[in-house]
Amino acid sequence: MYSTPRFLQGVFAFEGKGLDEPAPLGAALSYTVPAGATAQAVYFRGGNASDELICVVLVRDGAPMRYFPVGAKSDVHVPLRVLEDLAGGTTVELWLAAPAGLNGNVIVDLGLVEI
Amino acid sequence: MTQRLVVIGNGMAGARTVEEILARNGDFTVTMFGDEPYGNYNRIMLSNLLAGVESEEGIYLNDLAWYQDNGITLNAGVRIERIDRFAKMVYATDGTATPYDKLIIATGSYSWTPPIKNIHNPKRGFHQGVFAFRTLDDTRGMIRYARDHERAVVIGGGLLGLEAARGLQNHLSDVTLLHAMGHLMERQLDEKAGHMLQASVENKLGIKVITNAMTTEILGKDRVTGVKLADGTVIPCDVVVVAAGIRPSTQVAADSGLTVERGIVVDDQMRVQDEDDIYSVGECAQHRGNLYGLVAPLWDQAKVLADHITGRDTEAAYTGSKLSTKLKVAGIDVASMGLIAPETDDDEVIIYNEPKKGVYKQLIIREGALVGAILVGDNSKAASLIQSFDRVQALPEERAELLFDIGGPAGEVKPEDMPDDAQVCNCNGVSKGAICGVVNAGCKTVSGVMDKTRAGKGCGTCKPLVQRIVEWAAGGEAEEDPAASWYVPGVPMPKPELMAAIRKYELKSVSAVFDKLVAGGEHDAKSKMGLASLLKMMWADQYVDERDARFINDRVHGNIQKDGTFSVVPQMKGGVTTPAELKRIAEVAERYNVPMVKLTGGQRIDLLGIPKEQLPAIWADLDIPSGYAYAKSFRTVKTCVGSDFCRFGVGDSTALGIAIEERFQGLEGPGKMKLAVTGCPRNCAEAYVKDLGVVAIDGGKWEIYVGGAAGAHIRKGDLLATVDSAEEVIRLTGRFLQYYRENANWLERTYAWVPRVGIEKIRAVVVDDAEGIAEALDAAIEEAVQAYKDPWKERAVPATPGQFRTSLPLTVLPQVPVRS
Repeated sequence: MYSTPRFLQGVFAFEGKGLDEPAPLGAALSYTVPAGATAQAVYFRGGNASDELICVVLVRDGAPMRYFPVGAKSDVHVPLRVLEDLAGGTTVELWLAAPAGLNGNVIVDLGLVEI
Repeated sequence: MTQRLVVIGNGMAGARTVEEILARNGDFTVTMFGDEPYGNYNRIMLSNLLAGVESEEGIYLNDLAWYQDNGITLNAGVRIERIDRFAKMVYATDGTATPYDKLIIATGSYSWTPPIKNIHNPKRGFHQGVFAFRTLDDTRGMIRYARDHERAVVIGGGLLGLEAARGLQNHLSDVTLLHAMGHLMERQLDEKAGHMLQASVENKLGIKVITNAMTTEILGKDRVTGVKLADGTVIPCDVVVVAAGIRPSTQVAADSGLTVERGIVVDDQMRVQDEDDIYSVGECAQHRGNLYGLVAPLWDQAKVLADHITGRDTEAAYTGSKLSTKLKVAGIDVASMGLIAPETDDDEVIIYNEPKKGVYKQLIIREGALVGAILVGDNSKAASLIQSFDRVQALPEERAELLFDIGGPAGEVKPEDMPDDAQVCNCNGVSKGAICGVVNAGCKTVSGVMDKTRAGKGCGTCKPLVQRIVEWAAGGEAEEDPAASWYVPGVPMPKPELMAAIRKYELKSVSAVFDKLVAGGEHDAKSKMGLASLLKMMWADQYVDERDARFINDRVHGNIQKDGTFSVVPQMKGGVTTPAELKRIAEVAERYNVPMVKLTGGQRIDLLGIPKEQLPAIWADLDIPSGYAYAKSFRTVKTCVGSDFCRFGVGDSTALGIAIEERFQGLEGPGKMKLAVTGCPRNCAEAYVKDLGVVAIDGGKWEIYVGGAAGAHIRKGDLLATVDSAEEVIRLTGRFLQYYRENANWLERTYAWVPRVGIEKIRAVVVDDAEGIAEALDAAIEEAVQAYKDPWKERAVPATPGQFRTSLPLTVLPQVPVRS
């Protein structure tokens, strides 16, 4: 296959700093497109085990690219097929924004494809 | 830039789609992949191959040369196992990867095998002696095996199963058909029709049929010895053919992450859901929840896909198909469309049943429209029923007419039943064989065949038959001629668009239309006459007359005869003349040695055999307006004696006929318009069979009939309205004629136009003013009437230098013998 699937995924504990204060969830949730390749995010799946609304943010080179709000005790699945190509060298990360002081767990799964 | 188009599937859908794309000059380099190691063949014909009435060469649609000629890379026998929709690559089992810009998936269907014990052999696929019936290889294997054996069982009593059973009879003597449901072809036929078909299959063909037969096991270790049913019955046999249905081949799409439900989900542009560059077409595609397993929907899908992908019409949309089938199932005529059973209490069900003959007909009608029909044993009405069903046409009041030919012309002739030397076009002496020859030589449009053979170019009555023969000869693949919907052959527009464009650009002459509306401005001689008539209708006295736009008859205002002379027909309104006029006509005839003086069918006097150069002088001496025995125009109003002299007459038909003829004389139209007024229902003036006929009935009322004909076609007119006064007759006549002039196709007479549009619609517009255009129609006809000029007044000075100069004989023409 010419395209290779890549995933940013896992279960993470978090402590909220405010819905307008997104922060990185963990070092595992970062992916840099290798030189000479392009990538596309294909889907995002997320689950929120806490009692409040939270928001997962897809960040490209430090700037928010997409927001995925996830309701309390809820989950989302967002197909992202119209997303633009990510050129080689671009870094994407998943960050999280949650109400200040909220403790909880989030399950994230971002599917990418590298061509 | 040339794009790379990859097509997965080299079956009927894939190849057809590529053909459509090529026809639109799509800028693609095309690569096709096919599972089977052949070119593209007509799967429907496999039954004929099995039955021995067709050879293998005969079933190919596109041979290998076609791929070569069109620069198509064909990978026959190479299966695609995976699509990488991100990298835009397809991967084949042979390890190759092929990039694409646009991808079409046309993987079709595979033969479904019910779960039956021992049907498979772990090493060979199927057990020895068991066959599916889907591919050329299946068929070849079946024929080879059946030859050496005696008894066959076919599992599946649908269409394919019946065809297989019938075909196998060709190779072995004993065939049993097992069907798991209660009656045969349960998808297309109701129970009664299914039983009727079963009786025919058993009695006429000698195939044993067992319904409610669940096959549970194939018996025999090394070779088949029989099958076992759920109730324990054992049927001994050597060959088993499975024709239990088909399933869409969607594995590659599903494996590659495309949305697959029952089939590959596509939108109205045949684009796979959520993909911009991947399309799917044919039996593997699921459109609006439906899967189609017939050819006709596939053709429609291919056209839409081709329009869209080539950018010819990016808005093209496939909105689904209404399914109808008309075929010979194992030698028995069967047609089915729409519902097979009524669904609501209000559904009208009409059934005709003649069990001994094996004829069964059922119609389901809802709110005046045909929503379902089943025909077994007699398909003669299938074509017209399919048309009613497809186009939701108004049905005749006499419902029996839907099922039978009641009076009128004989039923439809089937092309397959005609001998090769049967004459199809009696005007030009064209045989069925000649038409088939042209089709086989590659000309697959009806109009192309007509041009090449001249069939249908005489009186035109045989056109529907020519069309049926072309369709039959092309194996159900007659191509639609894009020009078929054009008003005239040289301007690529249907009538409404053409009229809109003429109005928009104010095109008032024929040459202006060519210059503005035809790419390259090419003047097409065949289109001039139709355009001239249309423009004259639209612009009345503002029309810019160009002599060369006219047919010879219109140039010299006379009817050309076979020896190149002309006929002169003085006007004789309503067939009434005076002694003085008669005398004058007689004197002229004598003075010019007119070879023949004859009464016409339209109650006028025809002076025949006049040389072109004498025309002006004769008309000058006659000093009577022309009776319009030429041109596509208003011709004559035939009348009977009416109330003055007739003992039965209830209305003054003569006076009304004269009034109508006076008012509408010379009016141009898409076809000629022949009228009649008759003074009582005895109908001496034959008003029921005229383009518009008026009949006086008791109580001072008049009935108006439209769309009648008694020429090459015979048709009794439909009653348009019953009115109280002669003025009202004239008003509705004008309005009807104008509506016809504006809406009919070029050369389409009212007998074709009225049934096409439907009398209810015409009545609504003309009588009840349902569309609010009555006033406009009245105004338009008034304008046309006011613009009338007697063309013979221009005789003193010819309109063109050579107008009345003889151009004959260029060749020696047959001379009309003069009667003494």
